[in-house]
Amino acid sequence: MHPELSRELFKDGVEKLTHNAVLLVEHGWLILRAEYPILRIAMRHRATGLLRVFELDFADWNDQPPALRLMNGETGGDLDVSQWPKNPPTGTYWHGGNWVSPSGLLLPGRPFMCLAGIREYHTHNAHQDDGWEQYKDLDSFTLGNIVSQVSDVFQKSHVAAN
Amino acid sequence: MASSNQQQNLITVTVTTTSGNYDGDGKRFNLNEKLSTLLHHAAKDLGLVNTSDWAVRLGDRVLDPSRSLVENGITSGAVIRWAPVERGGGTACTRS
Repeated sequence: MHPELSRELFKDGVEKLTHNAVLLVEHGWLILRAEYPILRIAMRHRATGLLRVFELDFADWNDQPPALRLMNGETGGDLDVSQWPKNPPTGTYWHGGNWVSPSGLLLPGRPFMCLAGIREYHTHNAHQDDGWEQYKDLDSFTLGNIVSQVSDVFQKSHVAAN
Repeated sequence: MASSNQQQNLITVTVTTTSGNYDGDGKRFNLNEKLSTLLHHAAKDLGLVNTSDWAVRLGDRVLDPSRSLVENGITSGAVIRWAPVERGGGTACTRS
């Protein structure tokens, strides 16, 4: 993807969020940064009222899906894995480490979210047969709807203060 | 002119999606209208094509598009969220 085209796609997708106050309020989202390729959003967990900050890196969007990390909202560093959401009974999404590269290299210290539409899922060694190409043009996998799916998983996960 | 009963059956509803919102330009919807009809109009207005795997929610409650607005407990002024359902996490990621 040409960088300028990727930037335009990002801008278009982000504006559909930032210009929609109804959507932001209903979902409990606060956009903290929207500057290509970074989209940083604080999400409020409805069940607990706790906040988590998600940073999505849309570099090479939409030839590539966004990479995701959870941030410490105060320091800007990576969120300690103990603060990551915990999986609901219905699925396994949050992994405290052990991401495996396409070539099979194990990275024990790298937490990640396992969800179609997230780069760490599609580039994980175990999901090489589930490429991003088959998702990228679907309405369900626009920039906004990837954020929405992450939010859905977050809402049904367990989140604790400590 | 609509009767009083007919007026009471008319409500305003907003469907919010990441592609935009639909409220029928302020139109009032009949409580007995199926939710799927409202979503059909929203999809057409917002240019949504592939919504077969989407869910519609009011708060944390998942609504049933095959039922009417009143049967879904939708009241005037409601904002309902319409979005794709995530397809589940991957237990395969745990195998390393």
